[in-house]
Amino acid sequence: MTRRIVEIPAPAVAGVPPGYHVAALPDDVLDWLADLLILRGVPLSYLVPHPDLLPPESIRFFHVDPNFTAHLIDGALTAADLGAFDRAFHRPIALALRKQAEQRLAGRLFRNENHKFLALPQLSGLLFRSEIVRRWPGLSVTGYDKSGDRGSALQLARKDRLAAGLMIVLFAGVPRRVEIAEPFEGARFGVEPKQNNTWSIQARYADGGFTGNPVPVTVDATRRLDIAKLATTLATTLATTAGSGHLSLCLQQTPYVQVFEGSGAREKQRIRRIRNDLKRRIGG
Amino acid sequence: MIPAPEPALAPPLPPGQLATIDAAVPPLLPGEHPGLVIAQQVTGTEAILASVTASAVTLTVVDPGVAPLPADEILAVYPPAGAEDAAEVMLPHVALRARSLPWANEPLAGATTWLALLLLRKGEATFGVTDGRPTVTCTQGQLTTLLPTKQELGLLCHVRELPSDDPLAARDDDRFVAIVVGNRLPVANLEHDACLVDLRGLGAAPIWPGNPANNPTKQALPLLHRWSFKTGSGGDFEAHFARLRCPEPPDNPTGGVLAFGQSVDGEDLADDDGALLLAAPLPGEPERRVRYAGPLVPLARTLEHEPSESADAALGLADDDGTEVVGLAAAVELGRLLATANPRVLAGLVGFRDHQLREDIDTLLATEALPRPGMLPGFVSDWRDIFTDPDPWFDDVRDDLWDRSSDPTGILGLVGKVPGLDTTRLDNLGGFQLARRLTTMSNPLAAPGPAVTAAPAPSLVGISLADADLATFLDNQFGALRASVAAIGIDLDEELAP
Repeated sequence: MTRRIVEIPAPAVAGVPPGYHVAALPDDVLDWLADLLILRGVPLSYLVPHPDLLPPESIRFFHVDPNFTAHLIDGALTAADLGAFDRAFHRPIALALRKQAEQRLAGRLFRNENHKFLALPQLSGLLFRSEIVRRWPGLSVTGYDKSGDRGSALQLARKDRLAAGLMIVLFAGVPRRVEIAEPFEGARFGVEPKQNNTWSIQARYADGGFTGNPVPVTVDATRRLDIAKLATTLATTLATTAGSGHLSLCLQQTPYVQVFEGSGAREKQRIRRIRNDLKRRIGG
Repeated sequence: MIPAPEPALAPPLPPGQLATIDAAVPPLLPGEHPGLVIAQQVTGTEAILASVTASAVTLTVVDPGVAPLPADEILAVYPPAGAEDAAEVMLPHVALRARSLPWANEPLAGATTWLALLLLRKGEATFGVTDGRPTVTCTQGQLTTLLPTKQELGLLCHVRELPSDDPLAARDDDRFVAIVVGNRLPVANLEHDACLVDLRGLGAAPIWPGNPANNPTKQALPLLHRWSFKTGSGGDFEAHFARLRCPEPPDNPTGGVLAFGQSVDGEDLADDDGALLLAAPLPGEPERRVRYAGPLVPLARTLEHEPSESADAALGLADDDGTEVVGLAAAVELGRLLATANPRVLAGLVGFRDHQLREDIDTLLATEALPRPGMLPGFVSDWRDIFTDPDPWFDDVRDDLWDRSSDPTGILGLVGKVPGLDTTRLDNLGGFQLARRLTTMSNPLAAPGPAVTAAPAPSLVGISLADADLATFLDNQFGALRASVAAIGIDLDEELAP
């Protein structure tokens, strides 16, 4: 029996001895480890160890602790360890395999990039527990790396429903702006409820542009709309005759987009606290 | 009324745009249209090449308003049929494939169309079949309060030109669809029936505004299409978000939009590292609490990964109060359990471990292994072959391996450290020339320790199990073994005592 030993340059991984070669994991196992990095398979009680952390009708933004996911991989590797020999070799193998898993995940997220130079960015995300998730499971979530004007959209590392009314979203990066958009369901026509059981629509010009002024809509006890009155009001407001096509534009409801922008206030607060603590210690 | 442009002439709308048209009136209504003259001539550059004699024909246009409408005439309905959580602030509507359908029949007197979309709550109407066609029946008083006025009938129908990226366009033949919108909002948490009805039989019925709303006379309407749905509550997507965004307990006790670990009342449930104290009672220690930080943390953390080969190795103690910190230990144990629970992954990891073990051993030996005689450079003999390959090179390679400056087993490094493990004993046990190995080792992994005086080592080398005096031999050897063990301070009588 002969075997050719081929020197394969291993990627430099901090903590792994130079020249130490870690064999390649089977693809499906490597994918499974990469899934651990995005917390796939992690029970909800590990993510949210106390119910007050995610009450009903809430959204919670978070960062993913890379130390936790690295230890998840450590644990997975120990499943095949048999004793002291494996433990002696565990450290460099664990480091190298974690790196392999990160590169696999980065490769999945950035398919068009050169995988040799890919690094997995900091993962962040949100937990969304709401009736909204249950009723609009196809809602879209987009993170942008800049606030205000639209920056470039971050890759979604994960978007899964953990339960009927609970969604987890992970971004490859830390967004400054997050948009949650109602799923597109084609044309919809409706009215907007206002205070005191009144209703209105957003008037549009014939070319589809919004006038910026809501127009009241009369809804009777049987919830029937007074369409004729609405057409008259629109004609008066817009100084033109509103036909059925124009009326339909005014009644049309576009998908709603909820925007969240981070201020970084908490991060600044923490830095200030650390700075004060250092000053106190140095002064003491 | 504006006829819809011919599809062949109109360029398709770009994605994201749409166009609405008030009506698409067909040039002919249902019925017989006599006197249509058909003639055809084929002309060349200079003369008529062929001609068909003009003839008058009668064209019959079929009534498209047959109840029920063929399934392919209904492109889409909203809310979707069978929906459980339809928004109660949206009007129902139906999209029809034939863009001229709402105007393709003689309209009601005083109206521009002949059909309407009625929204009925469960129980407001009954459904049946009359003359083989489905009908919906309710009182004329109900129709007075629910039907659109004749003027409104036309305002609730329009034609929509769809952009190329609209999913509906892919199902239509010409990208122009007729839309009929209902005039009534559904009620929250209630089942509804949306009914596209033919109004042509109602011209003189006392159902239009101004008639009594309590008229109990039953009125049946031909049912062109019907679908059912149930509404949810709380309004539309935007209304739900408005409540979620602005929690105002107790009227609006929602959880709000916050960083992980924060609560609406301003109290931090978890610290900056995402850690919180969890009850972890033990027998005799009912008040025990541990500090757990999961994978979700409010602030970014840097990776400081020191691999842990077990959950215990990842346990920590809090600097301030000595509380056990169990987050990373939980991660290790969870990773182990998840891998163990997945046979495919476990098999893959075991296979990897086996392969890596071989790689590690090969790495130790590959740099020093001799090329096998007769093989091309770059090929080395598998070191394991020395135990199985009877070729003459076996002895040379084996001896050479042991002569080299590595110690694959690590056992040589233990000589002198383990009481009783001396070179003679190794020689007898291993059969290799370990004494020579020790003396010629250029780079011993561990220097031999001080010699330990021991009795002569037992040896089974060269003894046949068929030997007549085997028992005697074993007794002798066992005596020697006892002496050896006694020399390193173990009393076998005591150890073996029941």
